[in-house]
Amino acid sequence: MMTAEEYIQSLRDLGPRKVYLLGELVSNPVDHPIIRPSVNCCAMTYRLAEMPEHEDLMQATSALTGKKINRFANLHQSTDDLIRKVKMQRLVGNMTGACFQRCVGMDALNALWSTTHEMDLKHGTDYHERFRRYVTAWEEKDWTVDGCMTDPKGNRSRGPSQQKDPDLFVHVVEKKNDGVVVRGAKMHQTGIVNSHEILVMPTLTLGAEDRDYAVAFAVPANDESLLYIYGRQSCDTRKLESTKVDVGNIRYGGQEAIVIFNDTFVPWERVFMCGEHDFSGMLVERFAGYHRQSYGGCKVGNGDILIGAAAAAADYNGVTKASHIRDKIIEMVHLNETLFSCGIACSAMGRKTASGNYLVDMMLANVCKQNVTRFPYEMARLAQDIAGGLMVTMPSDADFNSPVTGPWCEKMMVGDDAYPTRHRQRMLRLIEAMTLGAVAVGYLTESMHGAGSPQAQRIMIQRLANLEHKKALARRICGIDPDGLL
Amino acid sequence: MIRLGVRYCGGCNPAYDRIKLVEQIREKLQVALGEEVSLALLGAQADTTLVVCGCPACCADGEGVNKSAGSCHIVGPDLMDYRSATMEEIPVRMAAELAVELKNKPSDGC
Repeated sequence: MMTAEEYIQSLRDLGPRKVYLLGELVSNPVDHPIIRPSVNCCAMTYRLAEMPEHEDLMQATSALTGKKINRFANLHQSTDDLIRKVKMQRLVGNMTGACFQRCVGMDALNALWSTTHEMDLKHGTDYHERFRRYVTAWEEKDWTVDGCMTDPKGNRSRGPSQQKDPDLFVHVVEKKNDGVVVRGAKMHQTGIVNSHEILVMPTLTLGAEDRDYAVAFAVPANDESLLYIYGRQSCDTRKLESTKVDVGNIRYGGQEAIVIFNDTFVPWERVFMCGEHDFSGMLVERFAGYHRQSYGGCKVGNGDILIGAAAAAADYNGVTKASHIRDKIIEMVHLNETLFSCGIACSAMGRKTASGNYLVDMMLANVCKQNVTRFPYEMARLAQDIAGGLMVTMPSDADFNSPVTGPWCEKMMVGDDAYPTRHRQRMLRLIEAMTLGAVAVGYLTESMHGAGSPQAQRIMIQRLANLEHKKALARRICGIDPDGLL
Repeated sequence: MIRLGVRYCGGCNPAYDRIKLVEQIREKLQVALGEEVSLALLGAQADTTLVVCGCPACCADGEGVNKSAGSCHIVGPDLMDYRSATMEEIPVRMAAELAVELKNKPSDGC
């Protein structure tokens, strides 16, 4: 396993990549002040794995080699593994207060593992063995792998092959003896600039007419054909300022970028689906299931911090004993633990797949994510309610540091004078960051749209709801269908 | 006569009629083998055993099945030995696979 320092150095060792941010080519992404917090955040997945007090959650035993590996590279071997995954995500969320980016690769790993196995059973292909070799290297090298699913999609009422521009979905443009050439893009790619490898999957269930779009493959993140365009985040340029207090979360952050595949060559050894459109739906659903489970861990970990910030802000404001404040904190805890309950439940009810790894309970994973699209927003509302308006009207840290305005800021921004004004300033900035600043990208909008927008879960819930069984239960109870039992 | 063992999960949230599925598999297996197939409940001697799970959690597994109950096969909603299969396909495919296995006995235990 890599240490956190080795991980950060390994990103530098990737060499030059075409990463554009604010219109400029970034020669050194690792040390760019807007990008670095996200590097620190992902590095925490390595640092915690080094710590004996977190080893039980952060490490796993490889099913392939029997060696100790980082759990972010683990093929889940039991429901206990699924549960530990969620607990690990809560822990890392606690330690970073932001999206730590490494889950998407872990979820792609487990989805592709079982899907390639079943694909081979039906089609006689050898994708699973290729993928096994890839995963063995992944474990050994302790990569951060970016799982790429979301295509630009263009006109949502049209399928991939019906778009005016065929490149709005990643597709195979040429098949060669030694591999394939692909073109297109993936959007919203969490942590992609902090990854060693990129693992691409189709974005939706495809029909025979979209066979060329049914492609899964891996490429090194420093492949010369790739172009990265870094996503803006609310208040991101605060990270360029000399003081970090106004950033709120001063050391960690999330990251999203667009990646362009501009006629990228992929050798067959790294192709894990090519034309098997009948398995695109299984791959998408399984990846989504795992990722919807993930949010029952990571967002809960972030939620713990927001609850702590709201409770601390109440202390600083001198309103800790007000009954309505106490009740709002309780409500935040209730909402957060409900999300955790869903993450644990879909893990505990997981099942074995034909390939041997474990899959979450799809109904409960979708219920988990549906709640995640709502509860963090309510928690953010409650945190802002408790924090007060100063959270968004407070002068900058530069004004606190000014010889002219600083003393006035210190004097007028005091709350309960048992606490330093500067502590109140920092805590309100943290709430601001989590509920409408840079961290809100991960904590709120990612909760809404990441792993699928709310309607995607509702479609799955409808499909899995087993309404006929429920109707039969009702018919029996009211006497329409008597069965002779008691 | 072939004895088809059956172990049901507890049935808290079944997505399909488990008893009907077992009967469909039994009937199709009988046709495939050309001999009578009777059901054997858990603990009784069986040539092969179906573990019948009502939902994807597959709470029941082969662990509770007596070693004398032959090989184990798990069926569930759109699942056959953890592979994806539609509910319409399962009786036909499972009966066909069981027929091949039983014709080539002995088989492994659970």
